Amino acid sequence: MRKLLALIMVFFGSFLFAADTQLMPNGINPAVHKIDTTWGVIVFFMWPVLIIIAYKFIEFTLKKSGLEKDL
Amino acid sequence: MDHMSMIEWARAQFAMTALFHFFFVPFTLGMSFIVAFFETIYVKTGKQEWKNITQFWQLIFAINFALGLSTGIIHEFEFGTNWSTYSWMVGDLFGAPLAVEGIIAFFMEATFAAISFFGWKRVSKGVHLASSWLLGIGSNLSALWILIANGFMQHPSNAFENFNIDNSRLEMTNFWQLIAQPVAQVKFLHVVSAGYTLASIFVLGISAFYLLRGKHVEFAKKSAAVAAAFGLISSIFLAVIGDDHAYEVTNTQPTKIAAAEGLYVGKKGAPIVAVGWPKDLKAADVQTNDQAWAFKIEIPHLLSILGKHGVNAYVPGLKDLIDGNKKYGIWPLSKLAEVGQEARTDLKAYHEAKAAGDTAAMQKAKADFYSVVWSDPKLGLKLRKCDLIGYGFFKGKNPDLIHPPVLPVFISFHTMVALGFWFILLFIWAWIAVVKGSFANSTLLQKLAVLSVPLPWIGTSFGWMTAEIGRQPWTVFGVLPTAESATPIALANVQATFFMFLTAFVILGIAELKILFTVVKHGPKGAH
Repeated sequence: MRKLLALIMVFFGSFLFAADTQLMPNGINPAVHKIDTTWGVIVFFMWPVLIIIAYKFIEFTLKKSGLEKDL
Repeated sequence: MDHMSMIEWARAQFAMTALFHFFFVPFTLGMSFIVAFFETIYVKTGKQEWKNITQFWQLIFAINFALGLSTGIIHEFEFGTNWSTYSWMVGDLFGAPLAVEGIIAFFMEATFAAISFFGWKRVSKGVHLASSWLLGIGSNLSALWILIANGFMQHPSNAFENFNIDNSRLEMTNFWQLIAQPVAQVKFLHVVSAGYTLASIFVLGISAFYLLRGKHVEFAKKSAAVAAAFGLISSIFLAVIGDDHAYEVTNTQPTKIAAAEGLYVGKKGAPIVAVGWPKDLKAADVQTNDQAWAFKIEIPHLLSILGKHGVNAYVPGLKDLIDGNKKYGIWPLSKLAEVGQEARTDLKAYHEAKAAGDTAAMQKAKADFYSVVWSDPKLGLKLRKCDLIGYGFFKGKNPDLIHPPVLPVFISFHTMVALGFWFILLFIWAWIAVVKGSFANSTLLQKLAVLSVPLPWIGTSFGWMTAEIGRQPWTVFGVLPTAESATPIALANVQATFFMFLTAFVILGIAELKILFTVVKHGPKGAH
């Protein structure tokens, strides 16, 4: 948990010192224009994780509210 | 003028079809999983009441599913009838994900929809449950492939495409880069989580409606609990991934975000306008950003923070994208248009030389066409003349044509964001009420839930408008202008089909609503 918090703080802390980047002739940021497929794959796998977390949270809600105990 | 009018009618027709189609799509994306959740609870508990709940929401899902599918097919035809230049030029790239969608996701959906809708008494509980889940996964995978295709339109890159000088078409060079590009994947998650939020609000609202009327109380309490939990997770995730989406847009479509924020003069530490009314002026008439607003309330630095991940990061404005900004390496539009025009001239010269059998002239024209005009050796990026060919169409034209209109993009973007925050608040309130057992007694919350039912449809439509109007004047950003994408057909043809589709959509829309209201009025079978 501490490591996660430290990582988040470093991420947002970096916003304070972010250097200006040179843009492409059409105003696009070259660092983002370069396709990062690793990030794309990570983003895709957030989808099943979201569905699993959502279902678990539904079960938790039903139990906690007393609407369905037999889960 | 006639040509432009035809394009405007073709755009109106596509927008009408897309908006009508998009009434059903997000609902299908969300309801398919909600039904799977209900059925999983039924299978785990073995209780008949959960089966009744599942079957009721499945019926509503099925009504929308049919219309969603049929309206989607109309799009495919419109690509051919009204947008044949677009289809011909980028069909290799755009068509591939659509074909995968058709072959895998569409058939997957159709197969498991049949088992899930009609197989309750024909297959085992386990097979039926698996079918419901696979239907949800298939529906969402459909969206994935469509959004990969749309991701290419929003952010084309020579990392996965190449302009073939021989046939003047964009051809795919790397399928993996096309499908795994973050712009497409972030867009996919943003759209599906919007669909989950929309479906959750619908279920919550209808459940609240029953509670207000004192009907089907146990059914409504349980449905609302599932909707509140799914909606809470989805709406929070929607905001988080929406932030990432805004980051991608800011960095890959600078004209879109500048229009969405009414930012004419680029600046470091750019603000976000929380509330305001832009005047939609010509860039040349604006010297300071304040001139461009009737009124505005800003949140300082927020656009730089969200869009560039830097408190004082520079965000280019519309004027910078027209006049250029030497400090940040942005070329004036006139220079981009000049290079684009040169690419068109090289292309023409190549084909003339080819027809004349002049190999030396062909090679020279080809070398010029593919010559590098900008590079970033550190990132391994380069722009060739051919990559800027689309800008050639804007040579000598009104420079304000290079960006989308400010007012509609600003309104649609900001309304979508505001509604997104309302949904989070509504779900937090509803979830707390569900857990405390007070949802069934909270009349105010129930009324707000009912009144909120149409809002996510407005939100998702505005989101789509932000994406598509914001991309203008391009069909493929920076590559193919909308004005050059249409089929050169007579205006009357497009007008005739426009009104034909409008009539069909009105009839289908009325029929859909009538069936929906009848089902909701009748309520679930066997409910308390």
